[in-house]
Amino acid sequence: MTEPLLRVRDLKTYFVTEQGSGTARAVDGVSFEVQPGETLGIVGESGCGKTVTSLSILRLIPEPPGHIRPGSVIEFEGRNLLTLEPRELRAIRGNQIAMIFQEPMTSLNPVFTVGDQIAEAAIVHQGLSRRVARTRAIDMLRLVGIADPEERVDHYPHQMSGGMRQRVMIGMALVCHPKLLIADEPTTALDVTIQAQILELLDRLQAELGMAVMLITHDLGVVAGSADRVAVMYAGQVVEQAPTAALFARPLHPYTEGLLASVPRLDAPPAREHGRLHSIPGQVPAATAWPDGCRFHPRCPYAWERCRAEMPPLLDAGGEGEPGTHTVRCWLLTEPRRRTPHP
Amino acid sequence: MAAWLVRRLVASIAIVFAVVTITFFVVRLAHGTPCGPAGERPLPPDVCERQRVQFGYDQPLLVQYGKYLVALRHGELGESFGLHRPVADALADAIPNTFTLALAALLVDFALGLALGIYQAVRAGRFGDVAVGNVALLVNSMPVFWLGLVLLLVFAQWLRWFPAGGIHNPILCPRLLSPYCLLDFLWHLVLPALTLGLVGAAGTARYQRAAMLEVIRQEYVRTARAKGLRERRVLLVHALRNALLPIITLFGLAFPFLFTGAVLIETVFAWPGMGRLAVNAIFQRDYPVVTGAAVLTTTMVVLGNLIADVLYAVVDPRIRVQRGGRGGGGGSV
Amino acid sequence: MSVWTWLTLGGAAVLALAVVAELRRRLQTSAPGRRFFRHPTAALGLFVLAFFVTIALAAPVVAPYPPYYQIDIGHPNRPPSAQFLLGTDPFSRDVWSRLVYGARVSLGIGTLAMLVAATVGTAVGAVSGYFRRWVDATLMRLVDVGLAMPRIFVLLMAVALWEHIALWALVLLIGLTGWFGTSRLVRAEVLSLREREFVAAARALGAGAGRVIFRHVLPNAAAPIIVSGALGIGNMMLLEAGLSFLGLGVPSPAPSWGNMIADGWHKMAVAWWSSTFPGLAISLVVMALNAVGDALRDALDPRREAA
Repeated sequence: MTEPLLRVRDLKTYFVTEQGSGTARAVDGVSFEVQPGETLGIVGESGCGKTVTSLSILRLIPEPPGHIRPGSVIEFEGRNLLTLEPRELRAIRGNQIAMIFQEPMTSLNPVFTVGDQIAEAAIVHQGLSRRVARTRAIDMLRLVGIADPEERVDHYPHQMSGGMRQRVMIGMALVCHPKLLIADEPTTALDVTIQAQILELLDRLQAELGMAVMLITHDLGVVAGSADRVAVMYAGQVVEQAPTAALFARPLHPYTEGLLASVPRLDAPPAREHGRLHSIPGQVPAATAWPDGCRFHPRCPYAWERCRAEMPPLLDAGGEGEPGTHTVRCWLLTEPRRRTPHP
Repeated sequence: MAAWLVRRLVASIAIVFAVVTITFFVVRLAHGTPCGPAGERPLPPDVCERQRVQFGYDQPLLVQYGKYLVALRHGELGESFGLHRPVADALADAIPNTFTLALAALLVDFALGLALGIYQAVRAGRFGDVAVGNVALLVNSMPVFWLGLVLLLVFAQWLRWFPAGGIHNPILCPRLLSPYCLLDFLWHLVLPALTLGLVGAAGTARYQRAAMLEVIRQEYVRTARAKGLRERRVLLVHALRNALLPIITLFGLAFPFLFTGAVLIETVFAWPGMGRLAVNAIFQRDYPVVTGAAVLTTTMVVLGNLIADVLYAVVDPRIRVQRGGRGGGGGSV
Repeated sequence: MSVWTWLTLGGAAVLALAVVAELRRRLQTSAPGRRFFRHPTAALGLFVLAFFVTIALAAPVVAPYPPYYQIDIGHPNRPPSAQFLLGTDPFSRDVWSRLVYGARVSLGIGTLAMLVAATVGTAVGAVSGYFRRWVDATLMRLVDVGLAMPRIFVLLMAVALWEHIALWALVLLIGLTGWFGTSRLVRAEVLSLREREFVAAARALGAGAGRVIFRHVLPNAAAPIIVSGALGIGNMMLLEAGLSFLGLGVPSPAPSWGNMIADGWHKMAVAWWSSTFPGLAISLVVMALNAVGDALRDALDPRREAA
């Protein structure tokens, strides 16, 4: 195994709540790695901490109310981003690691032309002149598939459609050829047809530029098409991590199982009786009060005493490949015979 | 954009016209002629009677109104009762002084107000923000003329840094010609402009702080940080440019405040502007001058709002295109 | 005499403190009340207001001298001392006593004028927003004109045309030139409220316009009216002070904080106290009103209910 590009170890990002009384443990001990050039999908429902995880990597969490707990490690090419000076951090942001956000509508500054916004990072990080940077911006617009880039470069964000804006966001993120792109729900705000185009674009650019991608989404369909490996998050933790094919073929965590069962599939008969889509009962608990023991146990059809009392560690599920390629945070791995739902 | 501008212009003219009409009739109906009721008249009976005929106050009201409007089209505002000259001339002498004062005050208002507001937003919730915020609240609550008196007391009477009023040294600089006299003029301008500007700045800072805090929360500010920009650039370029948009509205609102303040400040500092002219005219019961000053001030306030609206449209690309595209969107911003 | 002055002063402060403490205790039970007192300046502002209202109400007890009493006409402009807490003015009157009586005039005019403005503004705004169409168009153009006229000029003209202005007329004038902003605010509220289900339901049940406006719409628009009212009193007070300062407001020798500043103005160089203290009193009260208004806004803002 090569040296990972990004290594996140025991990341804990907490928020002090409005009343000042409670602490929301939005991300609570997350670990994963991203290899150079690969795509890691991070999947989970809203509120599971996936966005906070992605923001924590570039230290974009507003402080206060948020803070990253000491002991957390975010290593990029061997350097801990959490201990960098602001200047060193800036040299990485937008240059080595870039980020695109969910809402292309609000993530672009309404009072600057898209050209200026794309060129900015190139000017700051590569010291390009304004003229050269403008040419670069036009190139980027062409690269992300925008027609008439020479004209579009002077347009303002509101003059573009949602899909075009997200293309602009991607162009802006890639202008310095980053080694890692963090894409936080890049397609959620877009129409379905546009979603596919954007994902295709990301795949193509990844292949062309040879960067790694962290794809954060709630949509398993998105992950299935694009990711090499998947980390499933629930209640501030990673509950299952596996190569994409393995995860879809053999989901081991009951939560993953539930997520997969709730996706409509054309290639397989309906997963549950009566041909209805399955849904996981209950709701994601509040980040101020995670359940004791396994955090999924109140919604888990298999839960028994141990799940209520003791939090399971990430256990190796074996399977193909090296040890640790498929890990699951579930006690079922120690007692597989319990995998029958309660009546 | 053009259609919108025309509509906006027509509305502004309509407002000014309405104000002219209202003031005219209110003043005339409330015996605003050279010959007030016994004991109140500002002029001797024979003079007053002569003036009454000379300025047409003996004609039917509607005829007078028509004449007033016709004269207004030529920039005339009638004849003063007490100054023995046309109102327009008296105002023309006073306006540059009021304008200079208002402009200087505006400069202090916005330069200081914006700087403090941005500082507060950046340090939101910390000591600097709270301290500046409370001082601003206090200054914003002061009667502007009283602040003028206090500044006069401290800086003119006690410290003797600045003159105690007036617009220039009457002996050395009866007119503004030499560089020395320009300096002298500016020296006289400092205290009144500062008084008016400080009170305005306190309000502007509060407004700017709120606008800035609103913008800092926006996602494009996070995008700017994710690009690896310096915090200075994030705040002063990406955030500020957006936070300045609502400030333009404030610019429009500053005009009524400045002219209202000027009335009081010019009295305190013996500044020969429109405000002082109007106040003196009121004591002389020189109604044409008061009416003229009111009409003129209204016009400038309306003009200020119009300028603010146009500025808004120019600065905000969203509005620019929206209005251009629709060929005239909604009225005020 | 001076012992009594200090005693009443302390008494007023203690009373004001008690009022604030009691209010705080009672309001702690409700969410808006807690939000109100979460503002650090809100309690302080309330205290300042309670203090000035107390001395205004108890003026004859608190003031050591009658407001017009000239102590020693040959010896005016005495500096602040144990006997004359805030000194004496150019007419040899006790500044503290006049300040106390002036609180009645200034606070009274401010409050009453605000009530006039709030009433007219609410009525116009409600009618405009409820009936819409030409009623709305007409009234709002009127408001446009009103907002465009610099208020001080309107007041100056009105005051100049009037012969000897009575206090009630001054209140009416200040109030009647101050409702334009409120009416826009109320209109906006009513416009959005009238589309809501409960208003439609009331209309469907056959309620008349007056009943719908007063029973269903206005109570729900109360919060912004109250907030703008609190902030409005301060504006009214500043305006009154300005007019009185120019000699066109409250006529001498009746004490208002504005004309007290005017009385001391020309003797500022030798007797700073007679103009400084009334100005300070205005600043404090207006600041308190602003602080309380801000806290009220946050406390009554329904968008904060969820938080």
